[in-house]
Amino acid sequence: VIGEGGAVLAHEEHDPILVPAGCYELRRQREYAPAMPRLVLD
Amino acid sequence: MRRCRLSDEELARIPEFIDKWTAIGLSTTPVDQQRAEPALRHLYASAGLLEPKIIWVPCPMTAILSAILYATIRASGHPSRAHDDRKLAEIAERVMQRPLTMTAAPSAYRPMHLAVERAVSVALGHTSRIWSGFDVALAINQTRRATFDRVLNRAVDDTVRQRLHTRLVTPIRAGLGILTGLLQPALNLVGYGVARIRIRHAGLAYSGAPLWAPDAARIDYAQRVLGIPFERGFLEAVESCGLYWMLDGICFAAERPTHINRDVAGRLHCEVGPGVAYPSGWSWWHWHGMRVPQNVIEELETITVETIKHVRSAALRRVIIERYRHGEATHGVAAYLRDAGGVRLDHDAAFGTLWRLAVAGEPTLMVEVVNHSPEPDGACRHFFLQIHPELRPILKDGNYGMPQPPTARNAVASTFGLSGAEYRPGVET
Repeated sequence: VIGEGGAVLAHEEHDPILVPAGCYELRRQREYAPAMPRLVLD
Repeated sequence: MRRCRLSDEELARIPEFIDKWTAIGLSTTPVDQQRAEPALRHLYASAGLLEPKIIWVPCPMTAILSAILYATIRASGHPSRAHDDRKLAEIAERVMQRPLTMTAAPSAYRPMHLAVERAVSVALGHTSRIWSGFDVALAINQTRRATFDRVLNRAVDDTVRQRLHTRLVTPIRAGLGILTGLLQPALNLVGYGVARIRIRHAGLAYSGAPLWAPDAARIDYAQRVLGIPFERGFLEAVESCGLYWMLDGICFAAERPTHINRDVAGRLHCEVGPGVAYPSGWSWWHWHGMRVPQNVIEELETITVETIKHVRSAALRRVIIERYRHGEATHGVAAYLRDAGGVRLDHDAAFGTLWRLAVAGEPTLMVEVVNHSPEPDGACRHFFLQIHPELRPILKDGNYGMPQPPTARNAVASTFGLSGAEYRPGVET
C-alpha cells in the first residue's frame, strides 16, 4: 500500500519512477525451465 | 573548546582528500616494500608489541589463507611436524581446498596454493615464541581507535563528525566500492567460514587499503586541515601497503592488484582479461560492470548455443549471447539466432519478439525483450527469456496457467503469471 503523495521507486540501472498512491501487488518475473520455473535475475 | 562547524575554506578542501584516498585505495602500483615494512613495524610498536616478521604474499586471498593455515598449525601445538614439506602440503590442502574453490578461478588454484605454502613455511621457520593466540590486530586497532576517538571528540562535536562522515568518508567508500565490493565478501566468506574462534580471529586480523582508506582519509583531513594532532603511523601503513594480516610475531602483507580495468562509465570491464587481477592470479572478470565467469571473456570457444541454454541468470545469458562468436563477421544475437535455428513467430513493438529456437534438436520458445532505460553508451540491453512451450502463464506456486496463442504479448505476460489479456503495464523501465 502506498500512501498519499506516492513513492519514488529507485533502481541503480533505471530512471526513478513515481508510483502514485494506491494498492499494488508485487509480482516477480519468472522464466520457464523444464525442471522448475525460476526467478528472472537482473 | 570543541569546534561545531567547518568553515567554507575547510569544506572546500574535502575533494582533495577524496581524490587522494580513493586513488590510494585503487592503486595498482606494486607496494614499495622498503617504505611499507617500517610502517607495519611501527603499528606493532605503537601498541607495545614486539617487531613482527613481515612476509609478502601476492594477494589478499593468499594472505588470509596463510594467516588461517599458520594459526591452525601453531594452535595444534606441533608446528615442528609441519616443517616437513609433505606434511605442510597435506594440511594446506585440507585448509585451502574449499576457500579456493569458492573464491578463485581454477587457473589460479595452483599458484595461490604454492604462494600460501611458501609463506607459511617461512613463517614457521621464523617462529621462536610459544603461540598464545593473542589477538594482535584487536590490540593495534583498539589502541589506534581509542587515541583517535579521544582526540577527535575533544576537538570537534557530533555535527562536525557527522559532516565529515557524509562528505568525506561516504564518497570514498562509494568510489572504492568496485574493489571493496569484491574483496570484502570473499574475505568474509573465508574468514567467517572458520569454525574455531581463535583461528577465525587470525583470518579476520586484517587492515590496510582499500578497506581502511576512508578511515585514514578522515584522520588525514582532521590533522592537515583542522590541525588536530594525530600520530601518522596508521596513515603511513594504509598509504604504503595493501591489506595486511597482523598476527603475533608474524605479519602477512598482501600485494596490491596489478589491474583494475574499467569502461568509460567507470564500471569494471575488460574484453580480453580480468577486470581486477592480483599477481597471484586471483582475479574477477567483468563485462560492463557485470561479473562473469572467466570463460565468457577468455575462452569464447566454450560458448555454444547449448551452453547458453543452461545459463540460469537472464542477465548473464544476455552478456554471453553478446559474446557469442565474438570476432566473427556475424556475432552476438544475430549469430545466436542463426545457429539456434531461430524462427520469428511474432513481433510487437510494445512487448518484444517471440522466437522459436531449436537447441540440441529440442524446440524452445524465447521472448526477446528490450530494456527501456538506455545504457551510458546509448544502447538498450536485449534480454532473452525462456517461456513455456505453450505460453502458459508461470504462476507463483510453480504451476502453469492455460495455453495461449504464440504472440510476444502473451509471452511477456506469461513471465508475470498473467495471460496476455490481463497484462497491461502502466510504466516500463
